[in-house]
Amino acid sequence: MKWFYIISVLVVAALVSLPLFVLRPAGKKGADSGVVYNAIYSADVKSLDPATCGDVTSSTIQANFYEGLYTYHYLKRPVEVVEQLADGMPLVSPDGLTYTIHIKKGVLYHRNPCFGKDPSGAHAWNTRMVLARDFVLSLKRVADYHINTGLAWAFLADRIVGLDAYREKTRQFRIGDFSRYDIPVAGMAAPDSFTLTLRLTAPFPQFIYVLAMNNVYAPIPREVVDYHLSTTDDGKGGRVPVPVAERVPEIMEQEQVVGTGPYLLSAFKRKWTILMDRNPEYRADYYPTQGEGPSQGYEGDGAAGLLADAGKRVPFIDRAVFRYVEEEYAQWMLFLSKQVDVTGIPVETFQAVITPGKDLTDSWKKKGICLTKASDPVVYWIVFNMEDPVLGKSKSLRRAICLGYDAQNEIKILSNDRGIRAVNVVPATFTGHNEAGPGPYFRFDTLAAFRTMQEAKKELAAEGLLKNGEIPEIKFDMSDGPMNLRMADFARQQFERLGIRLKCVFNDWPTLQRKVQNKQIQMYYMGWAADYPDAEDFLQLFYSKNIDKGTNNSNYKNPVFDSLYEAIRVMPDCPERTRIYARMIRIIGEDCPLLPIYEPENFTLYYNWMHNLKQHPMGYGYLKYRRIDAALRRALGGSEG
Amino acid sequence: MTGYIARRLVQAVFTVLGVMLLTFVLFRVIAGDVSTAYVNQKLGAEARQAFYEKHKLDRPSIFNYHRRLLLVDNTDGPHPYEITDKNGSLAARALSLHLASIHRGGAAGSRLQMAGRLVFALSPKTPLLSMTGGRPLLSEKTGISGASGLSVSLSDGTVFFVDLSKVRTCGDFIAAVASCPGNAGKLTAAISRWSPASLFDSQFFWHLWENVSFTGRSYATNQSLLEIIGERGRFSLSITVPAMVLTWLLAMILSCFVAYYRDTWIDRIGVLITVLGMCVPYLAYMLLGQWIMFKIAPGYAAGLAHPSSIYVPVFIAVAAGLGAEVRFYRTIILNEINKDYVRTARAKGVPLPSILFLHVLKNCMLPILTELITTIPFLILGSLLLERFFGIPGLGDLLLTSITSRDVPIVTGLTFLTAVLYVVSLLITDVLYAVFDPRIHLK
Repeated sequence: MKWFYIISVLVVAALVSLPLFVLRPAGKKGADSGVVYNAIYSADVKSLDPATCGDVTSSTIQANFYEGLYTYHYLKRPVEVVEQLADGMPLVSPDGLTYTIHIKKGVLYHRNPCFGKDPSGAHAWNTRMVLARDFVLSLKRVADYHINTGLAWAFLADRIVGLDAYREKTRQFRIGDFSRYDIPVAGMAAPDSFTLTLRLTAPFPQFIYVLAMNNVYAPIPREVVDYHLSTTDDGKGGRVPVPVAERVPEIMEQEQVVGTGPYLLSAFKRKWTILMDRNPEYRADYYPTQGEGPSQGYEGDGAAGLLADAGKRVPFIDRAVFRYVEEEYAQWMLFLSKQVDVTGIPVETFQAVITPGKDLTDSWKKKGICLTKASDPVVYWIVFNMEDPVLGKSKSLRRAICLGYDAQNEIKILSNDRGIRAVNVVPATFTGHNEAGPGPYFRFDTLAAFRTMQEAKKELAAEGLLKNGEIPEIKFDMSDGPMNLRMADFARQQFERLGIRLKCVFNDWPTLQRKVQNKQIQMYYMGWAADYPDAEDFLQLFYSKNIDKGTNNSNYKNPVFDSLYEAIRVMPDCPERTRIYARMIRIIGEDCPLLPIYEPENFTLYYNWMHNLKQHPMGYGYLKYRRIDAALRRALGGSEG
Repeated sequence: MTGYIARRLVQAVFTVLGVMLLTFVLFRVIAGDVSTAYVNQKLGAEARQAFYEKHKLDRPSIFNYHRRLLLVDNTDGPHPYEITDKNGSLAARALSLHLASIHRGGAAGSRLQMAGRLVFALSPKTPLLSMTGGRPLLSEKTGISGASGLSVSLSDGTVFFVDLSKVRTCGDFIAAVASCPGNAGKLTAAISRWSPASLFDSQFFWHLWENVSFTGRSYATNQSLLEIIGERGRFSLSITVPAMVLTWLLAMILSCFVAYYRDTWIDRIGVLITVLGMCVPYLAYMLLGQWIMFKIAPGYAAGLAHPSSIYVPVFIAVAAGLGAEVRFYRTIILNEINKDYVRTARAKGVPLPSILFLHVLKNCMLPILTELITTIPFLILGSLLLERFFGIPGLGDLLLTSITSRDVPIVTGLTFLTAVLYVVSLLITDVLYAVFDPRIHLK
């Protein structure tokens, strides 16, 4: 029995110390890793392939190693498109249908085994220059039926000559048969190595913004398809072809990522860490020399110190470490213990950190923490299903709901007042918003709400839709989550004031999507983030032909609106178009297929050793402009390196 | 003994089969359409169809009595084989004709095929409209001139047109293809043969096979289940294994101590503390632990920057679980101490410590260890809450996100693994009882 005790204690000690040997730290911390930037990401990166990139987290990470033709200027506001891999802005033919784009010469891809060994022996692997045909391949992959593209394809569908027919053709090929990338597409050509021509089916004035979604249409070298997706490591240092039936068409592994960006993807562990190291052969790119001028509420970029590094070569930071932390408390504590350089502010601590004047309290400023605010071009609203018998028929009911909803209070209670009340379907900074004026029913007015409610009851009684003289119960669908629980309570109170019973239904995301698609909901809460800085992006949500496409979730049908939409769709930016925008916004304001609630404001905290931080409303890939004063960070007790 | 083990193994197979049937019903039948999470709805029905085919979700649920319409290309040319709609026909989409994944190559029987969807009891008399899943065969557009039908482009370059305007049933379709001008036997339309072997080509049997052979792949990331378990399992085990053994050791020591001093104030206070420990919610331990760690050693409080920061969740798991274990072990020990032989030994003058450590514990070890063995199958799943809070990339967290995002292969694979391990561990505990307790005979 004595032996049993001794052995069991030894076994316990061995098993308890096992993790120390089994767990190895992710990524090697080199002694000369240079200046390290520590950050957090709280949602999984869903895609490493530009063609399948559709969510914010994937875009934020991908934009550091993939670059596209155009991007947005880092500092200038309102946002402006500037060249990135393209040489100058595109030459557009007079009819607006042909775009000729010149590619910068001498831009190198990241070194990768798919290009073979380096002949000069200076590096392990070879590389090559970016050519125009790589952009053609990238656009073909977006159109590929077998690749799960979402956002990327939504902007090209029906736009480029021959691309939809190409997509149909790819359907006939097996998933692993990549010979489909050899089929020419009528509207895309590379007449020479550094020129790309694209022919559109109809004038599309927002096309330049589509090309500025920088990482989504990043060039893909054919070698990635032929080497990484068609062959695999045979374990002996060589490559063996993968049978066609087993091939995956999307880029999913870290070693398959080949881009041109300022950072290389060194390590990618799902839901744990992402490591990026500086690309030593990054093209010559410099910190912008011009910025946003002074305006109401902002001192200007120069005075804010954002032009101190003007003209210097980027990137500044040598290594970026992204840790996956889902819990808000842990994120906040990691920031406070100086292990992370940037953070958002959790709802619970907001009041302690930010004054009612939306500025940082002095005690926090003393800790060396700084605040930056930016308004996102996002509008959150409650959508009414226009095909619903009760909500769709009665305009007065929708108007009454809009008048009776205290959105300003909701922003205060649920979001710490981090936003402005949305008074139109289009964000406040967009052209057309001011010209249209605030929507007449998008305000809180209980008297008007009651009056409109009486009219609504009369309308519904005439249709025979009242139940015992009362409006039937309305169902409000939402996705689940603690914030939405609070919102449901708030919404119920608002509707009670109007005498309507509200039933809140919580769904997980796939179920909610399915219900919306099948038009099974009466009203639901959604937000729309602008894909590009043009009001058309919001107005297309009410175009009747987009109901089948899936973007018109309110099922709104208005022939007058439709004809106006078809007119502005092909108009470039001009006063006439702005007038029509205003008219369309006013139509929505009168018909109320939605109740706009708020446009969020983004509050970010960072330490004073981090320079050049400016939130960009639309673009990604600006990590290269940030600079960290490592000596100051070490002196203040932050992380080494 | 061997007879008993053999019988138990057979029972185990049926138990696991029952678990598989239940997970199938829950995750495939009740959960419904998983494609909403993985296929962008804006891409339409074709993308969804491709997703179903790739993951064999277009097959019938339990048994496959279904057949499909085939269009076989008998030439052997280099060009892509295409069938497109012409003049208002929607037949290619409606019948869901797609290139069936067969191997191309010289040997007989390897021809290019377009296959339609699986239809129950398909025969030449089946009307075409019932084969389309509700989609119309003709477009509603008016003003189209010319006969409506399919334009076929074979792999040797031959192009011809199949007129569908008078075709009503499947047999008509086959006849229309055969009698088409330009088609000199190059394209044959037929109904696929059904053999008894294809009875099992259904969702349920693929689900069984996928789990038993561990060949499932995640819908989200396409990683194989084994890869995922290998990658993340060790993090879960790094928390649960040390926690389990440490809890066992500490609980043994504490419960022996408390049982020895039974009915004294030490015992009463010990019981009070353990009950208090059981009442405090798990979340409270975690928050408190994390808060303390951030004050003492922030670098170790979250995530796995240093391997030794895994001990923070381990100690929290030990602290939270200790109360229940001590209560359980104390009960077992006290049961033994109340037995006759202990009373005899005390009467003979043997001191209590030596009775405890030489005789009583030996008899208690069997129930204690067998209880420990039944918790082993669940070690691999880790602790969801601890992994979430401390940022450990383990399997528990993955299981929960897989459930909410409908990543069915992962969920069913892990459930199958746990079920098999659990059934085996129950068998082991029963056998151990028979081996170490001479009073028990297994029949």
